[in-house]
Amino acid sequence: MPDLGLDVLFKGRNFARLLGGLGIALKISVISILVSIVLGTVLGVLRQRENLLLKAVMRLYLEIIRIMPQMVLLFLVYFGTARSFGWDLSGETASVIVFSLWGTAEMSDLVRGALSSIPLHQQESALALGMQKAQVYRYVVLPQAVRRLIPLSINLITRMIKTTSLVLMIGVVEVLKVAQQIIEANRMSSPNAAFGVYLTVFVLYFLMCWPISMLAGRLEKRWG
Amino acid sequence: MIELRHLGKTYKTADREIVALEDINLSIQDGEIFGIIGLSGAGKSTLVRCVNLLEKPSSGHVFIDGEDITEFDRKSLLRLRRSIGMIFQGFNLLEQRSVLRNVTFPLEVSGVKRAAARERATELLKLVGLSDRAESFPSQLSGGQKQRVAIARALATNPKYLLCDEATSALDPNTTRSILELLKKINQTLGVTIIVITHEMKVIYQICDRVAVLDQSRIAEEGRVSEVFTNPRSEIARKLILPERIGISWQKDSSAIRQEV
Ligand SMILES: Nc1ncnc2c1ncn2[C@@H]1O[C@H](COP(=O)(O)OP(=O)(O)OP(=O)(O)O)[C@@H](O)[C@H]1O
Ligand SMILES: [Mg+2]
Repeated sequence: MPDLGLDVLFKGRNFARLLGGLGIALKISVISILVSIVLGTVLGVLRQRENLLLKAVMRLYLEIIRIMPQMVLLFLVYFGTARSFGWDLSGETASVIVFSLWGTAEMSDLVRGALSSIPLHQQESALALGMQKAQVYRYVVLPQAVRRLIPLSINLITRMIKTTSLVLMIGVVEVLKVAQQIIEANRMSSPNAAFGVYLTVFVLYFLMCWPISMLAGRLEKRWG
Repeated sequence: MIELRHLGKTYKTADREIVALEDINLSIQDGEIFGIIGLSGAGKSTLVRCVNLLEKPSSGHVFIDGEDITEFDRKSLLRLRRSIGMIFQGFNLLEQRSVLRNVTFPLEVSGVKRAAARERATELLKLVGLSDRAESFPSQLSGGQKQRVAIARALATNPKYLLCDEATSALDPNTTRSILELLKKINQTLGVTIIVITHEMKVIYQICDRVAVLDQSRIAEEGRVSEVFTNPRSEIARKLILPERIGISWQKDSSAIRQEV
């Protein structure tokens, strides 16, 4: 059997450190996801309005987020703001800001799409039944929009979790960074550690995202 | 009674203004079935939508039972809309609710008790001939059945008026006939005044008492169906009627025509 270098995982606190790194990645993801869902929903609803200023601002924001690789955004917020404005953001804070900006943009797209996919006729028909605008929203628009939104936003959530692995680039010691450290430290004693350690990271990410993906697939089948 | 007085509607879009209605004057009596016919874009939908203020008229007045509804506040408007049912070409049922719960929907929202709402809905489903489908979902119904559910739902709040915007345009001729018969029955048994919008003359002469022909935002002519049919005065009315006459053995008595159709 080839040496997969799995042994380093059981040396000292290595495995616990990996899990700790995963915890950091998860923490950044969870906070960003929550912020994105809340702000994205608000912005998505606002984007339904015919307000020219709001439209222009949103457009600029969305284009910037779409064009920029997340890594560039991370560097910009982490290093850029430190230089230009003298802000001393921690890596984690910078990461949360970047992922929230990104997630909010994507979420607002999803919310807007889901809302505008509800035919106008349905809303009019409800109005004709003597409902107030708020009731039409609550009973006709929201239930249908949410059904469309759930699978899509779960997909966004898994993408956000995966992409947090980028934060090691600005010095946040998350799971991938811990993996690198472990591999470096054991270079002499177990030169094959890279495979085993990265494999473990792979499995950890898989275990986190797979159930969420499954759920999305399920919901999509059931409601699509 | 519904009275339209000098009703006008102009849509303003970014680059131009579209006149959809111009100086419309009509009186629709209680208990009648009134037809409005015209080509696509003539302004039929706009007209009927002004009757329950889904569309706000740009000029003129709409009187319902003597009250000028264009001056109604929000509360009065909601009350008014509950007294005017409306059905559309697309049936607009809520897919995630059963047939029964689609019919109870307007009642639930207006605060009627659950049991009372169910009772009323069951009654209405019987009226439209769908008692056995109460627990089905809209996706399991045919177009005609969906329209029946929409009719039952529109009647839930006991409206005095029913507006039908191309209610049969998505249906085949047989289904169209049965839906029209249902509307006639509702008119006769419940005394609901019905406004029927259509681009098909067939629909008009199957159930309407009177008809207005709409052409390019204006009323080209108006009168009893039998009169307009035998003696169309406007160019547009002749155009709409002529193709229908072919193949129908023509008799002056309109009731004979209706039986033929
Ligand atoms: N919301 C709107 N904004 C701008 N123009 C509109 C709007 N609704 C209708 N119109 C225009 O008003 C005119 C009348 O439209 P309307 O829908 O009343 O016609 P219609 O007789 O119902 O036609 P159809 O048989 O195709 O349904 C058309 O020229 C249409 O393009
Ligand atoms: Mg129309």
